[in-house]
Amino acid sequence: MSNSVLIPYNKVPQYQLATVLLVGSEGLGKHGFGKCLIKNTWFYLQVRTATTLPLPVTSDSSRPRIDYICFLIDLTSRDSLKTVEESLKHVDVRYFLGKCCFVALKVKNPEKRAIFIEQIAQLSQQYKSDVLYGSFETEAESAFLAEQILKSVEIAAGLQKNKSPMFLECCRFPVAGEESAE
Amino acid sequence: MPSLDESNIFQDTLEYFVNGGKIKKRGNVELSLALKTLEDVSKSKGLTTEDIISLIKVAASGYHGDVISCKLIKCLVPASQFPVRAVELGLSFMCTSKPSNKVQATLLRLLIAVYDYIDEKETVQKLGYLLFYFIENTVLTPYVCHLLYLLTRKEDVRLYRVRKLLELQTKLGPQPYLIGLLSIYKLYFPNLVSIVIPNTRKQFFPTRDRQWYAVIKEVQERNQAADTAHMKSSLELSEKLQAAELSMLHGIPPAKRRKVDPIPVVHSSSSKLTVKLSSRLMAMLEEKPLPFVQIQNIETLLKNPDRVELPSQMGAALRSPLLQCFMSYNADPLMTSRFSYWIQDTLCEKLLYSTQTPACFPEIESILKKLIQFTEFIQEGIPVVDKVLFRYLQIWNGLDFRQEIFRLVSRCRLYPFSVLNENILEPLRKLFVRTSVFIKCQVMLCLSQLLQNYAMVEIPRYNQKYPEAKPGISVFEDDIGMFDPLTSVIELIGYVDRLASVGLALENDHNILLHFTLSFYELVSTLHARYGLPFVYLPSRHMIRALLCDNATGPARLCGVINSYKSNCQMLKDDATNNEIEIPGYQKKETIHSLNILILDLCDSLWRRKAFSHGRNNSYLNFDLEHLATEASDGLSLYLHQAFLPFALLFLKETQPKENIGHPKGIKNVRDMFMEFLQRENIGEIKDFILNTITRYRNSTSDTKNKV
Repeated sequence: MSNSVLIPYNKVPQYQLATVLLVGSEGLGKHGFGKCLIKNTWFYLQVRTATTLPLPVTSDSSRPRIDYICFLIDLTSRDSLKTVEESLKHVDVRYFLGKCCFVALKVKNPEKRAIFIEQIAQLSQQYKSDVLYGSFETEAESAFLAEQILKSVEIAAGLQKNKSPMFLECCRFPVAGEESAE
Repeated sequence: MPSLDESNIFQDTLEYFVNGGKIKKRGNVELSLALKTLEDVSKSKGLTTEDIISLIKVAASGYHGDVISCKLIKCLVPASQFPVRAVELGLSFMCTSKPSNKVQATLLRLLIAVYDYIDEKETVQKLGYLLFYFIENTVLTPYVCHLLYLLTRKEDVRLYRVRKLLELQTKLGPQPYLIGLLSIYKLYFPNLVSIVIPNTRKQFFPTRDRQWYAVIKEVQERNQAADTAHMKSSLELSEKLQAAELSMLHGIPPAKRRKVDPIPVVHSSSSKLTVKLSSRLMAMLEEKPLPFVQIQNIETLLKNPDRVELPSQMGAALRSPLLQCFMSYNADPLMTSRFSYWIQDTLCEKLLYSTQTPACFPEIESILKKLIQFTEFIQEGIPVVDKVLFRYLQIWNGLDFRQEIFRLVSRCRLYPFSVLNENILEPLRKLFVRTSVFIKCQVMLCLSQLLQNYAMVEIPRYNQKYPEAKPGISVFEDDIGMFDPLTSVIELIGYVDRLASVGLALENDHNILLHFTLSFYELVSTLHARYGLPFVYLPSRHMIRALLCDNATGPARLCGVINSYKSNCQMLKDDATNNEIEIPGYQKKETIHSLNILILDLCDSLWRRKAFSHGRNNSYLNFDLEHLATEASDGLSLYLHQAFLPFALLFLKETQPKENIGHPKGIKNVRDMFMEFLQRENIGEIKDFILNTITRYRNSTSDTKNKV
């Protein structure tokens, strides 16, 4: 069991390097987006992709420490949400302190939408992680999404002096639903 | 020639349907080919007026049976205008027993879909109430209600109709379409409709035929682009009113763009009342209404405010400055709710319910821009727009229409903080912590403007609203309950303050962001003096960052802000009336106490040369003295501060001999001259601050002035 859970702090970080893991079902354009991330980055970045968690068991040394996880959800496919929900079970709780985010794609095609926005909002509230909406359709949108993710990755990987993901959380004010849930 | 062939085939198809006699349905290749041709033509070019008239005769009579009739009706896409003759024919066939319910329903849906393109709405409005007889037909009721909602005029509202509707409502339960129609009746004659229309503004008539609408619109747009000559016939109305200034006043765009633009043109039927009215209704109406299109200038409008007949579509207000004037002057609930309905529908459709492609961005942008112009003009936000905005912000990608969205957010109405936080601040925070410094600045600016809007417009409005319950303070009424607006505003300030401190830390005190933050504090500091709010809110301690910045404007503006805080606190203290007001979560004494500490700190570091050796333990600059060299206390003084060193050097160059300009420390004894120098360099805030706070210095300067 413990092997299958992804843990943020069990490995030594590599010098000046951040690693992002993109999790999402096939056909979302993870690789294209990974390239977009690398193109727009201003620090050393490694992008890994996986269709689902847990990651296959390999010899430990070959896999770097994962600093940040992006869960990609395609709003027009119910399966993609299911994949993400399954994968979330194999993630250490410390990732949810600002070291992961959800990315909801194809938000601009409401006719084809198969998942309610409320479901996504609930997911985000349950895991206390932000949802970024967008799409990979145009260059500008991908780049903007990449920029937002890179900013969080930089902090999550500890590349910024005196800043931690928890620091960003301090300006969040609890939304009504969260308070009652506690 | 292929085009000739095509038109021949099309004519044959028409013949086939119109004069062809009975058609066999099952396995009829000819029929399916004919339908295909018709569909293709209508989807690509649309049908001419004559074709529509001849086809509607066949279709509406149900001659070929339900299936074919419905398919035919769906093909009646007008190339430019939908002929009023076809409407007449359709309505008259509806009143016969020939077509089945299904065909009737499809006909009504057609009329709703093409309502905007009918050439003489006047006739439709006159005939439309025939449809009221179908209101009890359960299949047709929703469509009948929708169509009637579109064409109801004041004189159409009758007591027996209201009774009928209420009867239906008790039978069917509160259906949205019935409430929709009743709501418009209630707006015209509140005395006739006694039921309460629920305030939750749902969509009365959800659109089911989105694809159909899209096809019609597409055909119109394509024809627009293809030939403008075709348009001429349809523009008779505006040709009558060709006077250039008039079209300016109504904001009518050039003919080419008109149909493409979703914002309707000012249009009303120049109706003379032909209906015989009961004496009671006559008394209500008093005079013959004056159609809005006939109003040429503002004087006419001002002379006949009671007689104006509103244009058929209130959305035209976004286009016509004259109508905007009228709306803000009259604040008639009928007008505003019609406008609200239209704007909500349009925005929902454009932003939330339909696929956005880059091609439709300019259109949405222009609507948003016009809407912003309008809200600027009436000086208030529109509640339904806020509601749409709340929903849109949740799924916003942070990129599209950013400027317009921020402008609309800054015009938002007053809400309890929890609502504000969930719907506006949380999406903005998500954007703020993840983006570059420039977008952070935009967010700061947007929130500052929101605060200003609250202080300047919304709080006075709220205060007026409750104690005296005066109607008509705002054009658009909202339905927010009672809450303490001041707490909401204080919490907002606290939130932005926290956001700013996080932002500054993330961006390593970026100068631009620092200045946006200082502008925000400037605004907060003047809330009492300028807008009469009974509190002074002191930002958190990170404010002292501005003092440590390496750009002279940072410390200077900080001094200015503190100055303003000081005078505001003084004013608040002197103003006895405010002392009784208690605001939960706000402690006045503590605020004054920490302001004093801040002032002492600034004086100690800039003037008294003991930034770290002051011996107070609640200071903003609290360092362990063991880790500091004794000289360090001098480091933040006016002439040695990193930000002022260049000025010190300039000062020395100006005053000292060239060979030996000396060390800036030498300025210690001529600090007042140095301050004059700074003032000459446009950094006057420092001098004001020192003058204001250090009594000894003030006295000495006034003494010297007296002596001179």
